[in-house]
Amino acid sequence: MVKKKLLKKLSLALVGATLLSIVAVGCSNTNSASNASDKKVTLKMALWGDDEYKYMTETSKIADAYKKVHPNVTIEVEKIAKTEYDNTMKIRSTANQLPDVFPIRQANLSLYGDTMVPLNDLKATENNLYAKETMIKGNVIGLPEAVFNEFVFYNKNIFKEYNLEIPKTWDEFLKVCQTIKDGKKYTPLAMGLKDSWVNYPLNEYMPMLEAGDGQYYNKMATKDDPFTKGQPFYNAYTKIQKLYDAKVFGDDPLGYGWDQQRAMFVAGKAAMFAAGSWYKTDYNQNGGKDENLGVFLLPTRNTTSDPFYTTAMTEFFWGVPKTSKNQKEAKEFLEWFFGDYYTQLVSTLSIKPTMKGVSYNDKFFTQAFDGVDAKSVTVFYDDKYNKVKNAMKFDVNGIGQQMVAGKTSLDSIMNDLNAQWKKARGN
Amino acid sequence: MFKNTDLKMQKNLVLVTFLFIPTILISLFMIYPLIRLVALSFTSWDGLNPTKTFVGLQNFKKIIFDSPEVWVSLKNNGVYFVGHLLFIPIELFLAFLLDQRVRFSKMFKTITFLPYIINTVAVACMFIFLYSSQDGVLNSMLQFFHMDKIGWLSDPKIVNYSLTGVSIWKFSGIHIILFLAAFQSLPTDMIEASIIDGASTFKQFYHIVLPNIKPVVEIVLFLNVRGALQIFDIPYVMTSGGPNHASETFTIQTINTAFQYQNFGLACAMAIVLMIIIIIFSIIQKKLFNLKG
Repeated sequence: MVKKKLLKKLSLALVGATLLSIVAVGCSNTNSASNASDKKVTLKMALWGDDEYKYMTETSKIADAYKKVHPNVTIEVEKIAKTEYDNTMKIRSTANQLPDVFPIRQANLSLYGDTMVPLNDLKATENNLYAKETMIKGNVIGLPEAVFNEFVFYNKNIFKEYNLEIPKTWDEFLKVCQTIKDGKKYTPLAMGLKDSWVNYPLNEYMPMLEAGDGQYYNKMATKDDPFTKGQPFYNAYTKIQKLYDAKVFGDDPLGYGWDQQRAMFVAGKAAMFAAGSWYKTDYNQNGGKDENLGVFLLPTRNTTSDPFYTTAMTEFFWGVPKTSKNQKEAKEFLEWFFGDYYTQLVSTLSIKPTMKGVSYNDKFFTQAFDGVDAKSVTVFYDDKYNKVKNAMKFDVNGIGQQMVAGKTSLDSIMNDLNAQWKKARGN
Repeated sequence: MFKNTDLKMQKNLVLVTFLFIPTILISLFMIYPLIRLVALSFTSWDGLNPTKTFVGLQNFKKIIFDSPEVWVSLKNNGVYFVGHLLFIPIELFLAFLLDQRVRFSKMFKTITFLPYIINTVAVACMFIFLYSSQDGVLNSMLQFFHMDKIGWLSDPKIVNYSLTGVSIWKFSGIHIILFLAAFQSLPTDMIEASIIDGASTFKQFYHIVLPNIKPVVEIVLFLNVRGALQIFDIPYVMTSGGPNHASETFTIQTINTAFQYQNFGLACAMAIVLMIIIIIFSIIQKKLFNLKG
């Protein structure tokens, strides 16, 4: 009985002590944070890139590196799954819980126009090659970390087998596809159109290449009938239709998707693969061997005397939200991030840099630019275009699927688009 | 012992104590979001901007009069509804067989229920490979019998039926188990009496079993309406609503409207329209079902 009472008292004392210590610790933390002369700050950072996260938390710990320069600042890095990132950020924005520093995907940049702090006055902005080209409502709200070019990856052995040269014009490209198709051994171009997005190098980017303008969609938003015959969009889609009609993606391209497309190319069942430079890592991770892999720029021009355009897609726009309580520190962090740390990061991860003076020497991709005087057009979608796009639910990738299905003529698709576009602009 | 008022107070206290937590939970996770949903449906909010512009009934007007794609997606939902509806008699029959009328019925019950407990994404991935045009099992079988390949997921005319097949494979198990539970709760004396009276198996089923399991049939019918109109995961994983929106369902449309086309206001209005459609369909179905009685 006495033992029981003793135990009861002891446990009560323990619980009491624990509660007291929790309260004391809680109080001491707030006090030290608010009273310290050198304000202690924790900057929360979120990102979606696997490689960047690994680099920042393992290879070269960003928190430790920044602590050396700013001992009062602690960096917390959080990785959010690539597929969940956009929605997670939207939800956090609604709840006023955005991290202090985070990258925005270019497709969503205009959406964050009123949410982010302008970065116009930063030195990093001045030194960024693309920041001024990607302003929203006259402000730089994000600094792009990387730039991607689009390529056609090809299997060197298959090209050797059919004695094929790197194509320099659209017709030559079609001819290469046809030659491989006639061989009846390989799928000329792997494109698993069950996942509609895979056609983006064609259906999304070719109108810009045809116009020689990375902001062509923004210009389309100022017209009522940009899909009319003779306009860059129509001309580009006529070329794409020729490729789709040649049936060079296999028996039933709408019946297989991205995963099977990748598997086909790595297994050597397909000769070519259209994607951005980001695909190279994926290829290697899936067991693809570099000695068989070649790369060239998608030739969309009509003749060799026409200019050779290629797209440059900027991505990972680092910014600071207006809701951040540590805006000054977050901006200072961005200034630091785009300095030496950035140079090391892009060099280690083989990222094409966006900052002036940062060298880039990726031999693999450089081969694609040999022998062609390629001009880069920077892809950017502004607010006006996004408004029209969202109002009419404009989906270029879906149109690609429709073209492959071949049930509707191109003219009919274009007329329909013109009508919908005009109506959406009117709204 | 106690005064009348004390007892009343105690009763109230017990009531409040027991109802406090569920009421808070329901208010927090159902009523509050519903109120927010209704409020947002009258705005043109893009999902991020701090300002939410009030647009009145414009979103509802747009859905009803100016969004043909929404009605096309509802038609796709209709394929799931009809497919499952046609399968209900078969499910009933299978449940009837599994109710001790076949050998190894326990094993078959487990097999029947198994698809329901497998993760839908896993089921969808499995069927992607089954339906695939590149080395897919179904097309390989067709080729083995010298038949032409079928675009299970690529032909806009076929894709919805292929997806409905997956949905039936996944969900018929739970219907069968529900029917089975209803059969097993039937009092045996009624069946025994009918056997003594010389009723055939069909007559037993039609005149005794069916009227007695009516509430369960009603639940299954309601689940069918709700499930068919809200179907999302199977088409989303298998086709993302493609090719060219041919297999887009109402929920996929709603999600794309919110997250792909940044129109949360319109998407909220679509969610409310869907809720109303489900209620209307359930009422009609209930009335039709009880017409005879």
